[in-house]
Amino acid sequence: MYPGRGGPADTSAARSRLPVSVVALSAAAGVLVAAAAYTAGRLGHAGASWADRMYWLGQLLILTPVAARLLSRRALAASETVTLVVVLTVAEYLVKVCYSPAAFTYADELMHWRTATDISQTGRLFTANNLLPISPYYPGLEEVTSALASITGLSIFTSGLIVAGAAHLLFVGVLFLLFRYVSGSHRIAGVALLLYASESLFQSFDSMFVYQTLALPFLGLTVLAVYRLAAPQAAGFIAALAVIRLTDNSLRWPVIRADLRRRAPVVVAAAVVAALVLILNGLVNGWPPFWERLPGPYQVAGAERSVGPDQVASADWALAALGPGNRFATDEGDLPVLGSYGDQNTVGDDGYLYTSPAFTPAAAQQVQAESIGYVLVDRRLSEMLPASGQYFPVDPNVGKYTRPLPLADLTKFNHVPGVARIYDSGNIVIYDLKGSAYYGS
Amino acid sequence: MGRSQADVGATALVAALACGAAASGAPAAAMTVLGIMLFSAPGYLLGQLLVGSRTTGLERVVVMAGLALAVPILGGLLLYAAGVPLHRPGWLGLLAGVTLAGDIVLFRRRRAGRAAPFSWQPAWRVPRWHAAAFAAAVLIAACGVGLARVGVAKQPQPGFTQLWLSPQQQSAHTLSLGVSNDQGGTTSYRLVLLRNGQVSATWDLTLANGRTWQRSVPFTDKYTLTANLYRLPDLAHPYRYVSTGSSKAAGS
Repeated sequence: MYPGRGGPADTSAARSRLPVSVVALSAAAGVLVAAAAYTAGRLGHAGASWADRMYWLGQLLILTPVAARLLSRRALAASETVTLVVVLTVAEYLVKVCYSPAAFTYADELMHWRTATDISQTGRLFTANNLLPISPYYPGLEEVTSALASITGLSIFTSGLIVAGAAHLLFVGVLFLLFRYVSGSHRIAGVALLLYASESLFQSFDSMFVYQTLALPFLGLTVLAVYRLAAPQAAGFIAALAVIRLTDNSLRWPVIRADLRRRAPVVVAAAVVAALVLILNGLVNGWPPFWERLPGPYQVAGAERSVGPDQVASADWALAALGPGNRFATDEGDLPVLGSYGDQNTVGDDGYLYTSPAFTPAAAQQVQAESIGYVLVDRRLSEMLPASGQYFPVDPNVGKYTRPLPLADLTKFNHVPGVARIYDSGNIVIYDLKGSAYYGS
Repeated sequence: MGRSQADVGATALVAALACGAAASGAPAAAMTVLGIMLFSAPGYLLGQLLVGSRTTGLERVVVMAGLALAVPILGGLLLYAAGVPLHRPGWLGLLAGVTLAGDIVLFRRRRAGRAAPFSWQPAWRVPRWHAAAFAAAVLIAACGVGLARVGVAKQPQPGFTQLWLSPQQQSAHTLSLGVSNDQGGTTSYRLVLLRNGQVSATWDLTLANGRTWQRSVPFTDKYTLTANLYRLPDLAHPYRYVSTGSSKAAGS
């Protein structure tokens, strides 16, 4: 299967009693259990410890059999190793999908969703993205997604999930090959991928609908192509690989296999536990943050849980009624939605507008300097502390809030001469500052 | 065309079927299947042409997948540079064009003996019960995703009603006054439009969930317009209100 590298190095060992098909079944059960935990969170149990434990049980069902098979002393064919890596990658990706299965809710994904939507709607590249201006200049991910959506009729969201998932799996496959070539052992390659899975980005930013998810496999393919075409001993930019290769001799699987054979099974068990600790640590420190481990009801200035139907409705209204690209003041939680669904040009440093009880000339000066035309006020800022510790994207008081913002600070716009209250959906109100005292009128 | 060119024939057929289905407005499910196959076809053919039999197994798969993803990226740039809109006809033309071009080149190479003929030899055989276990795993994982989607659909969300009074982009002297009901059920409202605090118009509305009511109202800077929306039967407290500004509004 791998020319020039010899066959599997551990075929003489005893066969495992845990077939990879059973590992796949366990991983699928883990996905189901994690999805059940997410559903419990959505149905009002996001703060329940049992729901949290259910999520971690799902993760253990995914991770433990994979780690046990990869680290066990039993024989492991190359095809089995590849299958284990694929099972791990796909299962973790599906857990990520289950967190937001109906629409993108991660702020970074919303930014790229905007660019992909723009390409689909306008048929052009390099259109402005107010939320992430650099995104349209690196449109690979969005091009592929737009192409898939166009020819299949699937939504940008579904197409994006397919493209991001395929790209993530491709990157893992390329990494496996590279580790396989460098180490000469498919098992070492599998263990290396297990260690990669312990990185906090594995289940989050390396598999999200963001541009690096597609860039990484092309980086890997480039390295693989150079390695394969220019010969392993080629110098240049694969020097890093050469370094790994120099240390490779102490890592080669036969040595490890021989060592493991001398060791008691408890050592293997310890290795499995260590791998699990590393991976769980990566999940704890990854995304979503621990305070939104499970999806659930609305949170002020949160991540996923700040994306709700009324936010999306107000953003859709802003785009339809006001057009794109208006300078908007908003808070941390509403910003990604208003910038993506609403295609508005949001302001980051706008806390001063929400934290004073009355109109001030200083605020007016700053409003004019930042050309703010509209203010979106979410009155829930006066009801809850910010989940992320900050109410605003640029917030000098991050982590210092001990009580919610006073309601009077948020409703003062009702009394400022010339400010038009143009939208009201209960929790969300949009004010038009143009032609008001903020602009000297 | 014999078995040695079966993949060439299959990919050409996919390209033709996808274009035909798009032109004839085929059902969404058919377009989805054909679209994904057409999306993959250029990667497969370019992989055959570029790396051929020099790679096997996983390496061949990753090269083909990478090429499949690269075609829309580079092709999209070329289409854009050529002024072709990146809509369905453009993407279909690109992917079908690359597929058919790849088919022709691969066909000729094989005829000339410069490329290996198509052969289908699975790398390994999976015992029947293992295959059943994998199928069950796919089913269970799909159930997980389905359960998550049910969770989203069943998640309790507070209903809301949108009221707006905003300038219309087409006319500076007309405002758009609208109500949209997302309360989760049919809701009755009374909408009162005030001009400088005096009742100018009243509407009684009954909107089904998801429905919108909208009117254009004339406006000049000489007066203030306020719209108070009451959710019946409560006529004492405005449920929502909007205003053009300059005077204190009702619901403040």
